[in-house]
Amino acid sequence: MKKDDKGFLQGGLDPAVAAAIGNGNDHQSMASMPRNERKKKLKKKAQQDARNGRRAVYDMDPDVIKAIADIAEREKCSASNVAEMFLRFALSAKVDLSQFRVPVQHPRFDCKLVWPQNE
Amino acid sequence: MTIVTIANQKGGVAKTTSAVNLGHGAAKRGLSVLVVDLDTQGNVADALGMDEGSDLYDWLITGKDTEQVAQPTGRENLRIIRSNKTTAQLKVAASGMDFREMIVANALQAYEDDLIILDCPPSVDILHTAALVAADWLLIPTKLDQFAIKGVIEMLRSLDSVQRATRSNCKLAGIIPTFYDQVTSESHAQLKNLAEQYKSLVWPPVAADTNCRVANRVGKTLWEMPVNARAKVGYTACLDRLMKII
Ligand SMILES: Nc1ncnc2c1ncn2[C@@H]1O[C@H](COP(=O)(O)OP(=O)(O)O)[C@@H](O)[C@H]1O
Ligand SMILES: [Mg+2]
Repeated sequence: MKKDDKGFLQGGLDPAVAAAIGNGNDHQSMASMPRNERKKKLKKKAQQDARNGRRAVYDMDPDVIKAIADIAEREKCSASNVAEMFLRFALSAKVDLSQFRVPVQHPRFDCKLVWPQNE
Repeated sequence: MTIVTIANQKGGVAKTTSAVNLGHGAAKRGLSVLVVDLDTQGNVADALGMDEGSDLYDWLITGKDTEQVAQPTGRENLRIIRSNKTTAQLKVAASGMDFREMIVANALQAYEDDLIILDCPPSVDILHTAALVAADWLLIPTKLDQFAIKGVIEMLRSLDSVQRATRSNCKLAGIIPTFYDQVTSESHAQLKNLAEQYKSLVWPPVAADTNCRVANRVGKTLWEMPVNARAKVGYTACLDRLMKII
């Protein structure tokens, strides 16, 4: 599509407006759906988000979750952003995790990594 | 220098909120910004946690220089010309002047900030006209209710008649949908309606967000509020558009 001298699509909508209308359309069609159908659709959407590879769900100690949220508030950015930075930091430092390894009885895992308590 | 007037004949549509947040946002991006309060209520000073003042009267009627009346706000690159009850007297005094619709344009002549934002009163008075005469661009904030389009049409008519009667070069920069609530069907329907009518002139919607009220009450801009204020997303996108016309 042709752009005007300000860099906007000619006759087209601002991308933010188009996105808002798109989201609103989804929302309206969801609202008029029967309950179980809506549930199915929501579940499918969550799966899709996960498949897109940009979302992961991890279980963590509530203290760690709180610490990340606090840092995010202080740094004025998102919690995901803080978590990603820490992980990148640890990855780049090539931390040796074997020192934290404790064997466990678990159907899927052989061990668990445990953070030393008395520090 | 670019002069933008923020106007809508309706009250409570976020004119002042938009003026203050776009003004401070542009200042944070490095532009020197002056926000002029043309409303007797003195909302701009309030919204920035400052006292009201008679700057506007001193500027337009007493004839003080812009540099003399523009107040620092404690925020880098951002100054304001405050207003208060004297603005009502100002309108009376101005109504007897020749070329009264030129008062704002004349006062701003030889003034050199990057961006000047005029926050209009919710009425069609001499200052409303003078703002449209002075401005390069008109920005119309509107709520997304059933009267939204009517308000926009009224404003555009007003612009049209000012253009006919004067040599105003003011053009419509855009419409900011405010108090946007994705969940309500009214909000959604009105946004679609605006987009159909005004296409690319519809700026990114600003979400209904209680942080706006809180910020207003404590005299801060949204940029001084905690990260998760939803209205920031919309105003950030609106700033991107504003920067394109400066
Ligand atoms: N996006 C928003 N969400 C919630 N409240 C808002 C929003 N924008 C503005 N407000 C609040 O609405 C009220 C009216 O806004 P204001 O900017 O003073 O309107 P106007 O200048 O058009 O009269 C104020 O209390 C303001 O804090
Ligand atoms: Mg106002």
